[in-house]
Amino acid sequence: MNKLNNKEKVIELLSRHNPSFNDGFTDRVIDRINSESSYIENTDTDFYSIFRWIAISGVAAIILLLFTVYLTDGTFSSDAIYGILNYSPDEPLLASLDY
Amino acid sequence: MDLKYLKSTDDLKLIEKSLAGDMVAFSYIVRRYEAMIAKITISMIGNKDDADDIGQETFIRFYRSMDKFKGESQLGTYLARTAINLTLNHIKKRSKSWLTTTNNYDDYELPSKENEESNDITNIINYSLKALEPKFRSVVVLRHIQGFSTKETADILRLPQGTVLSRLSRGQEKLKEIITKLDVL
Repeated sequence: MNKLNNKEKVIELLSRHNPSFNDGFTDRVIDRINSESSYIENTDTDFYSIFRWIAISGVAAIILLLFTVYLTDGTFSSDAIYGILNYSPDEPLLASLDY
Repeated sequence: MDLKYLKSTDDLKLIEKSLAGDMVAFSYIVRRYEAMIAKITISMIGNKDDADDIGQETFIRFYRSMDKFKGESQLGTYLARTAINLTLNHIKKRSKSWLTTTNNYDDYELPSKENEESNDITNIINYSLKALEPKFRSVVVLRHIQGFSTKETADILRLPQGTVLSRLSRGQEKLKEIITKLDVL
């Protein structure tokens, strides 16, 4: 090991070290960026379309519920919406005593 | 787009064009710094496939945060810092894994005297660097393999220049010992 007896030789050896990536590195980077961008765009579109359908279904369900309540009770009061318009709190107690 | 023009365009102009959606301009940034990132990541990790992934990640992270780059530091320094941080995280993760050991020499063919012709410099350097602790390896790679100045190395690693110099000296000493033991040159 006569050739490498000082630090300068180690430094010289290191400076000759010139590793490189396999061919097509730039294309691989650009492909990954493009595929990630299209994934994000698709995911955004998917979330938007799912949210839109949930929102439309929700609004339709609420309208249907209000319509049914009005048909049944003829009012939009909170008791009618909760379904307790004709409810008496004593009824269950009396019913259980009768039983 | 005139490719000759792009080749001679400075980094900030290329970034501006990339931000406007010009992928050809961004590909010129990648081409310009690919060799530097390859030297850093391959020398730090040794495994070319892992280094390739980290190299890609370095440029992808830059692409995502390009709008925040204002040119306070050189783009090369910025990319080198990202690459070195990613490699250090990778080494830390690997050393924590129960499947691997900190000094996994199995990745490299040990150079031998009998087969002197095939003992290329890459093998010897990779084998020797792998034996260095990451904190010494990063300084040696940036300073001697990539050729950054001591000040640039200190900036990239966010260390005082004195620390860089002392790590460099210890790293060189250790490398000399390892290469001497190999006795292949």
